[in-house]
Amino acid sequence: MWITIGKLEFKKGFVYYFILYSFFLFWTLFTLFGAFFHSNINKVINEYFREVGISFFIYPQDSQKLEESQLIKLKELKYVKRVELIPPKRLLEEIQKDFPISLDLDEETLSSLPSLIRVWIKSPSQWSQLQRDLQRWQQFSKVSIEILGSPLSQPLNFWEYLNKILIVILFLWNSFYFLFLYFLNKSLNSYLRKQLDTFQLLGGHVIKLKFIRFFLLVIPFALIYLFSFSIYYFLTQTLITLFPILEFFPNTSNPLDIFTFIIYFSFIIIIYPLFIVFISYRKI
Amino acid sequence: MVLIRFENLTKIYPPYYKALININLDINKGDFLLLTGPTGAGKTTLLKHIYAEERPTEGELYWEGIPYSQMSYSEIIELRKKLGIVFQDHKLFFDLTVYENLRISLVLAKKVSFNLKLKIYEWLEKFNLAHKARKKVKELSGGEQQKIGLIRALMRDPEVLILDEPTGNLDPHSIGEIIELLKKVHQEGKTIIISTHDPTIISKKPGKIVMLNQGALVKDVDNYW
Repeated sequence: MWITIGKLEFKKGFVYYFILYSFFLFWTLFTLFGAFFHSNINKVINEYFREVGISFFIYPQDSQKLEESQLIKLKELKYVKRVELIPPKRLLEEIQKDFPISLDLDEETLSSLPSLIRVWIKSPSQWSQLQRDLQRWQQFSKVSIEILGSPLSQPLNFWEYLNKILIVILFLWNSFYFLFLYFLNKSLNSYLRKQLDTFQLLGGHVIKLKFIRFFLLVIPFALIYLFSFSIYYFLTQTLITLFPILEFFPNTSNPLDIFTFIIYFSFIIIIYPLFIVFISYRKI
Repeated sequence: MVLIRFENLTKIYPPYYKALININLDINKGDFLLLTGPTGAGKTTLLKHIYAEERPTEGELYWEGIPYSQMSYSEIIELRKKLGIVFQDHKLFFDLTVYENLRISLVLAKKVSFNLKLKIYEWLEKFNLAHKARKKVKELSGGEQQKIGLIRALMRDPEVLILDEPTGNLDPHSIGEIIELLKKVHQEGKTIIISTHDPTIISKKPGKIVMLNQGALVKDVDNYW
């Protein structure tokens, strides 16, 4: 019976199923590539930040103590990974390595020179927060801070902003998938209404129809997903060979990636179809 | 014993079309009921209430004393398994073969036996349709589709056989054969309800005649003619 009803449903609604499967193939491919590029852009920026860090001069107005307390405060910040203080004397020594000039400064002059602080933050997105915190300290402490130009500050700010927009886009992209699935399922029900009614009038329970529809969605979706994932895998591996800095998504050594991937997989292939199928049938 | 009871049943289709007005009717187990009346009198609507495709606007309908309004969806489905219905528009699965149509109906009614295939072919043979078993329903003529609808209903061995205009596409000879067949089924103790305005059937008076006119039951049927 299941095969006969399944055949009936599939044959009659073939066009609808074809549209749905094609849509799913493109949607899922686009999503996978979107996730790949997003995770890699984040990765590249994080790597860059990890390497470069942010440097700033700190001009003390009374004593060395202030610099140290400043350093402690910086270390206490949650988003700061590492802080390095280069006192004026060491800074001079390092400069002298590059420039063959001899500077013999007395202690008084030396104490009025700035120290260099280098900060490595956990993520580029916290760069603007660091800027705000430094400005606040400048106001409350007797120090002047001169940031030595943040590397790529404008693109980074833009990326931070874009990351927020991406969350909105992700939500809309998901909603688009859900709504498309919902309306196509509704249209299919209207199209098959006569036979769905007949089935129930002959003593068939609507739950059987739901199961058939669910399996006609889930099994092909899983297969299409495997197919699109293979395409994605092949193309991204080629890209990774060309640009070794890129990394495959999901990164199996990153639990967050795996978790995101499982959630994404279960929602689009199981939970959405399940929910849509179970709410959309008409009982008579 | 009263099997189906209509109690002050009224059906109004929005905005204000009264399809059935205050129907009071008892159908006993083993009755042979001829439901007649002009087109648009409400015959099909009344039958639809029996298999719960329609729900009354007012009043109540009972199956063996149990009100339909208190039955759950699953109970209604179980009730439908006891019925054999010949629909006016046949309600066959047009993309399936004749054999598949009959098979699915039996499976849904839980009337599957080990010799199911043989049973289907025997029934088809009775109506000279065995050679059409593998044909899709949409390839059959109107009369053949009507016969398949009838076979589907009879094969389920139902407690109640409901036939809505079962002879519309048939020739007089086939009508006569069907009436004889229905009489035989009735003698086996089945309840039969036929909605028709076919004079061939009415003139043979195979059972009790109930008449509907403009949604209401006509009390004095004999004087109506």
